[in-house]
Amino acid sequence: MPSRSFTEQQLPSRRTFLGRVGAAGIMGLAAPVAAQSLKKQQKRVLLVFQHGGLSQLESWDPKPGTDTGGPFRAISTSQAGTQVSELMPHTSRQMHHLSLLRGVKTGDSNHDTARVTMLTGWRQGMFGGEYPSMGAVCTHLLGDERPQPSFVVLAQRDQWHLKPLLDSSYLGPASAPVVSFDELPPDNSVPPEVLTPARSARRRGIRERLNLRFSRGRVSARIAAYESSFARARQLVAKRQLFDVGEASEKDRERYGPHAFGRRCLIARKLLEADTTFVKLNHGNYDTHFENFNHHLHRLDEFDRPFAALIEDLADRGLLESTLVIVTGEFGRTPKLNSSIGRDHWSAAWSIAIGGCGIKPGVIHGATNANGTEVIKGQAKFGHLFQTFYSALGIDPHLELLNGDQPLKIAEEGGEPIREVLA
Amino acid sequence: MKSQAVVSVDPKNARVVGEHAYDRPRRACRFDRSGRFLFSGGDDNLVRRWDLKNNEHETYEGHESWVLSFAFPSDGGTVISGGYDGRLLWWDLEGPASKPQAAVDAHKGWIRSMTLSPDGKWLATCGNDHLVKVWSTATRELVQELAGHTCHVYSVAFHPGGMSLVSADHLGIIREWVVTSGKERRQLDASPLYTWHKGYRAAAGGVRGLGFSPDGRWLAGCGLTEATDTFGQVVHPAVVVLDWASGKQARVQRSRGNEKGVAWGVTFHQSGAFHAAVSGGRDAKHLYFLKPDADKPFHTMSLPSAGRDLAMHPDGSRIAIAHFDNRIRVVNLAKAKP
Repeated sequence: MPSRSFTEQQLPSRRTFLGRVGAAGIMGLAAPVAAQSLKKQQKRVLLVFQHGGLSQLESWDPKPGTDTGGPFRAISTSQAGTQVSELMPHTSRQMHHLSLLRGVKTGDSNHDTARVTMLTGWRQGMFGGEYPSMGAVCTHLLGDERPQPSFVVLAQRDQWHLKPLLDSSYLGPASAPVVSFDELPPDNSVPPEVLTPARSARRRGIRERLNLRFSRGRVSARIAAYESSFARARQLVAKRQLFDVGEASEKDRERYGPHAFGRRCLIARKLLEADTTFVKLNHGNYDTHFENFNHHLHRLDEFDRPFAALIEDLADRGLLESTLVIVTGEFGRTPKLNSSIGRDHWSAAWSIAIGGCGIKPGVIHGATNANGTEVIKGQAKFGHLFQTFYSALGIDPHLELLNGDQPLKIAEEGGEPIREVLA
Repeated sequence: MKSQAVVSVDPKNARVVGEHAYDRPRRACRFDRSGRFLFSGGDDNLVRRWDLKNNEHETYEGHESWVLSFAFPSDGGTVISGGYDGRLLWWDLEGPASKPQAAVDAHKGWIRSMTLSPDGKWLATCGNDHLVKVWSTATRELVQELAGHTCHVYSVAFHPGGMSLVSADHLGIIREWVVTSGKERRQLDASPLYTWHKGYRAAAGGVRGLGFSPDGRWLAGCGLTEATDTFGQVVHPAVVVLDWASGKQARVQRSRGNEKGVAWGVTFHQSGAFHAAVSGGRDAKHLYFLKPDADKPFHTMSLPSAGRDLAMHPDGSRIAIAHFDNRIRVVNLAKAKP
């Protein structure tokens, strides 16, 4: 639990918080009607986070034949006029569902700080505390009370970049994610054998009676948070089959490929089909300071087929219309190669793929120059990105949430939504 | 064409005697059979020819990606280039650059290496499709497709006896194939040239070059070893020397320093007295001279820029090196005149 400056009574539960949101019209917060309306729309987010920083030149913005372009060729896609790297043949056939932001200029080439920003929409330390991730904000605003995890992170246990992603910060544990490591159900989601359902129910009854007695006359968000945590744990145990891809058909196994990322994509599909609000799907590592091309051959070989299958399935099931898809990392990679045939960190001109809910498909917004060293059109900064993401979901990007008594916007300002890609 | 008389050399006298700058980094270089032409490939998708006799240059256009391998059929009038576009292109060796004589879509994905059999009849290629392919140099037709590798195949070489072909992959597995039947005979272990980094979930490795001693007793494979940070390039150049008869590792040869980088190419001198390997990377930019029975180089030459490949001149007097700084350099090994 990170250190926080507010008191226990200030820690809002989701229900308490929504009440505050409703009561705080004078502070520009969302009206309760709007909040409930958002929840009813059952919108979802799939965030594919490519840890380490995917090379835009080996993916969404190829520059073959130039001094920076590397050895890979560009290939045509299902979207006329859009080309991607030959390393993504399967994704190329789904590009009519996606749009590209090719003029991303975020100005932060440090893994730790850029990761926080690309997951929260805020530069680290802007208000002296930690911001909730976009997953937590979306869970808070879009998630409902259905008995299942609302925010799930599908990760690799031995990837150490997890900490900032877990933090729901002032939104409290109700908006924190459930984490599935290595394509397995979340840790401790199998009750011990001695804890039979009947025994478990008796224990729960005792705890709830004690909590009720303790909470009389007290206004405590922390009690609500504890209750919420227990409820979430029960949901998780009941829904752990969502993390089991053993029942997947032979055809799906083939379509999603043999790699771990493919199994993660299958789990993501099950979660989104079950209306999980926010699924964060990790893939990595792309931090290719050394042998950029060999590493991208391997990484994108893992990524391409299952990602394309997932997009295709979401589209076929009619889920893409209500699921915002964001494919990003901390930053891109340097156009200029280093002496180790690597590409270093680069935030001055890189690319993000988006699609689905609220996004116009098949758009290329922004452009880099001939060899990809600078943005020449349609520059998109942090502010533009998160304003766009939230707008696509129908969330007012200027919305403020309460950190105790402190109103905080859900995303850093400094840009307008990119209208060209909004549906 | 007769093989050239081998010049008496002294690696400790090695020095750069010539260089030519191109406009993109160089990745590969080879002398033709006569030693007159020095071909190179790099980041420009072009085949470059340097006529060492007249100091003239030609550029061959035809590949759609980087060019990293060359072969010179025994007819003496042709050069074959292999590209990361998966294609083999046949060109006139000597005249003005023109269109390719022939093109073959040889591999799905990169062609990483190719070599000719000692009798010149067969061309072996390998690549990212996990395959080794053998082609007739007379007809340019595919003769054998050798499957077995489970990952990218980095290097191929024929044993001097002509009866065996070896191929080496990303994992450091070397497979010996019987030329006449295409059957796999055995596997040899060059796994010190492969590291799996659990934290990054990424591998670093691959046998970047292969070379047999002229008598066929030793097989050397080069690459990187002890990769403690595969993305930050905390990796070290290394050569694995294998005893061909037993198939066992004789030793893993490391530099005397602790430089970080990769040994990109290895070649035996025609005398059999030593082999040379070139390194490039974070701070590795060296030419190592080694003997099969020693763990460390007997001489190391610092280079002006990271090396990417090397080639021995047919008479053994010179080594060409492809460099990251866009240059091809020629290192003379001949003994200093008294």
